Amino acid sequence: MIARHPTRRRLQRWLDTGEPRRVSRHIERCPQCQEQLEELSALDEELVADLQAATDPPEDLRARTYGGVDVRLHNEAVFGAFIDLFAIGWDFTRAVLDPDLTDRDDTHHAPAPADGNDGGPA
Amino acid sequence: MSLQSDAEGHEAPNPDDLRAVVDRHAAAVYRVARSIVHDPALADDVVQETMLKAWRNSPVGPGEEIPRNWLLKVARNTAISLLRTRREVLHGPDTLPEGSEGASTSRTVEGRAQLGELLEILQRLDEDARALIVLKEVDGLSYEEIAATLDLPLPTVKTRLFRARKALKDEMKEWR
Repeated sequence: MIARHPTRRRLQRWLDTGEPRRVSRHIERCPQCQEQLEELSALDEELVADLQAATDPPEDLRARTYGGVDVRLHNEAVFGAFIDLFAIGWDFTRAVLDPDLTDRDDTHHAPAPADGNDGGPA
Repeated sequence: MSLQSDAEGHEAPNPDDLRAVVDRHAAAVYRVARSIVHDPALADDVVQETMLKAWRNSPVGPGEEIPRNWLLKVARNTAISLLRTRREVLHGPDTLPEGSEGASTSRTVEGRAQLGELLEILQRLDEDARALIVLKEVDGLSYEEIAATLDLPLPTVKTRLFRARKALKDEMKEWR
């Protein structure tokens, strides 16, 4: 239970400045003062209506969103296919330009003999 | 809407789930986007990206309701991220495109200009203040939902919202 509260004038001043900190701290834990501030800071109905109108979505928002999302999905699919084709083309080009590449890769990845024999002359 | 493919090779989520998310949440996501980005076209991008993220990375199972505060958090982060990467070009209120303001399409030119001014004023507030005002006053979220959306402690949400409303009213005084 909080025994003492800022005056209404003090709360009004806090609204203007956000100061002092001790009033801020009091407000954060005082439902009674929060209620007063609700009242002091309330927006009039006309302003709220204007805010709603100003941020109202276009009437065709849903149709635009469906269309926009579809285009995005299509573009992603096309881009993905292009990247796949590019990757295939790149592998092919590497193989043509550097035929040893496949051999080197095979040699590089060949497993070591299991018995520890390096394959050299006895 | 076909929504059949997934370029990353993931098992494609159910297109009906995406349609359901769009139908239910697109408007709220758009409002959060507009509170952060000034350009309606960029807000459209935010909505589309948010919907795809929600569809692919939903925290709930197929057919289950996506938590609104989770979705709005994704929307907010997406908007901030897009702003950073695209360096939004700010437009004056008189360049608000026709038909971009939804219910306001039937308004007069003067009406649209006034709403444009209000958006300008909103943009003068800091990012947190704008988000708080839109989430509370326009989207009607509870303090608890806002705290979860913005990752802020409940008392902080309240004190910041009180001051954000006051800052908005102060800005409005110069216009009325």
